[in-house]
Amino acid sequence: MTRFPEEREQVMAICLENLIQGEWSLDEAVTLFPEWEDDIEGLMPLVRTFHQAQVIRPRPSFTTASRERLERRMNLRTEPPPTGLRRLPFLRFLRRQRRRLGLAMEPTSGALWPYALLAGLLLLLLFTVTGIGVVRAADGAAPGDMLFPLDRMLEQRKLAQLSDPTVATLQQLQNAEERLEEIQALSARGDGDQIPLALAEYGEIVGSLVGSSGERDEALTQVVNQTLAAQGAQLDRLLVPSEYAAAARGATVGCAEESEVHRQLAAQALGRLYGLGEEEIGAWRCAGHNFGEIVVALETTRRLAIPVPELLARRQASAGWGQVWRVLNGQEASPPEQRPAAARRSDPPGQQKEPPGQQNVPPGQQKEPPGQQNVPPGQEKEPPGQQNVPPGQEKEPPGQQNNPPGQQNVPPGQQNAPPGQENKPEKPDKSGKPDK
Amino acid sequence: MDKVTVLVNARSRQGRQLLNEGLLRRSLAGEPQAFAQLYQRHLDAIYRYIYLQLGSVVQAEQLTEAVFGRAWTLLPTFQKNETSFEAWLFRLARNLVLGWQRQQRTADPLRGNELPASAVEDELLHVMQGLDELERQIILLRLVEGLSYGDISAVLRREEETCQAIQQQAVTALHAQFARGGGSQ
Repeated sequence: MTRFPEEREQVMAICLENLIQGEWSLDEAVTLFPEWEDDIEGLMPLVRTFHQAQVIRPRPSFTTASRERLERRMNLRTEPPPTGLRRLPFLRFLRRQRRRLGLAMEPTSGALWPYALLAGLLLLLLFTVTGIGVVRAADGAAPGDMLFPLDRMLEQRKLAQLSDPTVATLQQLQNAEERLEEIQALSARGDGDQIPLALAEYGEIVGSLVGSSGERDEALTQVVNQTLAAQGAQLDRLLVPSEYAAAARGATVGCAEESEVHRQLAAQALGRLYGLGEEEIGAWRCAGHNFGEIVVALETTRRLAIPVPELLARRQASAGWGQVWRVLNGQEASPPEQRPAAARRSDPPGQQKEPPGQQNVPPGQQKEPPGQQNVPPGQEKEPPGQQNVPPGQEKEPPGQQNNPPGQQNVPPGQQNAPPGQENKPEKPDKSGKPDK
Repeated sequence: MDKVTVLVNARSRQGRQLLNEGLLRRSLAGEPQAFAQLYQRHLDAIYRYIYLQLGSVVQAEQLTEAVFGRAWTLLPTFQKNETSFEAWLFRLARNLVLGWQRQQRTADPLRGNELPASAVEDELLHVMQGLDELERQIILLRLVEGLSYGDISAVLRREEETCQAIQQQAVTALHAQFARGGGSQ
């Protein structure tokens, strides 16, 4: 009888719990706490109500259909590994790029032989004639170059050998940096046809960082935030050079007429890669998001099935993509200042702030203090020390930035929202319907 | 308690955890059948948890499916040592529900566009409506779904002691609500 503290609230809670779970009968509860008999008996309607909760189940038709959809989705992800010739990295690379660009369906096994022969001869020739020099040369290869598949293969092999997730993340950021340099090289030599390939590669690398956000601590997340912001700005400059040229002449930045052709080309390329309309992508760009951010958002959408506008809003309201992913993956609660403006609870209905994407602010100017609003899109988010570095010359590797792992500003264990603050969850898609 | 006893008493938290572990290990190894079993095992609870917050069968079904779809996508990021699979699933569900509610910005998040299907559901929704958001979460997770305070703490990102204290307050509030005839008894 004296096993439990006999304070009314506690007794009620303990009795209700045990009565609902069937651990105690009413008589047993009253025997344990005779002085609270009336209160305990008053709990019985509640007990009956909560007992009934167990009968609430989804409709059988939904259960069956939903399970089928889930199984289809799972089988898509666990597509059996390629066997035989299909395992050749060169062929995997070709197939992947062809699928992404919608150039062809999966080749039949018979049609693989020419590729295999070509790949074999190519590799044999490369290694016998030039040996290690080829490997070094491959490092600087751009999409469309003969050595580019080898470059990617070496990168992937190197990545696979890294067991430390921190090092692997930094390596992926470095690889992404290399893709940008390749886009710059392609652009410089007027080889615009290959830029979509490099863009696809950049997107895939960045997308691979989405799911591994749980392996990153605060400091590394910050590195991811800063590096992707800088890369996004750089990518935007590479894809829409006319925008920055126009801005230098004092033109309105963001959606300048002078940059329309470049914007359209970039939007077309991304639209083709991700199966969207160029108008939609162009609208996001004109709404203030640089193409780098749009690429990351598209890759995140592909993996987490969250609508792009929501992701862009989240990005705008947060410190960077690393943090957005941590919140979306449930590894971190988003503090109030990191929530999209449209999602803030404190906004009274009818007085909501304009959602991102509808703001009449040119790209890159959202976070600028007054007086600095003519900075071209994307340049404002670069980490300190990188603002004036020309594209392609940002050689500082991600792991050597100001906040190395272990020296983060936020001490471990303080990442959770303090009591009294709600966790800020991810949102379903813009139609209010979840992904299927 | 030996393993068999725990398994027989699958309703117990220990039993559920033990059964989850094997399936989870296989799911993490990329076995869809194992995840399908986890889905079957947790479907009712996740649906109930969502339904009793939204009061809409259609929305509850859609969000329930989204929870499992997202769980499969994010499974490689699941940290077994940090939280239980059950708590992780409920956390995904809570995030989706809150996101949906914010998007809808309905004045009364417990009422969707459709009426509850039965008197039982109506009564439960009525009971839930008498609680604030956090109390509702804790009552649902603890009294309806039987989660441990550790798991509830992981779902809500609150201290266990805080969750216990809030549960006590909520029970007192419910008791008073029924005493006043507030429950549709």
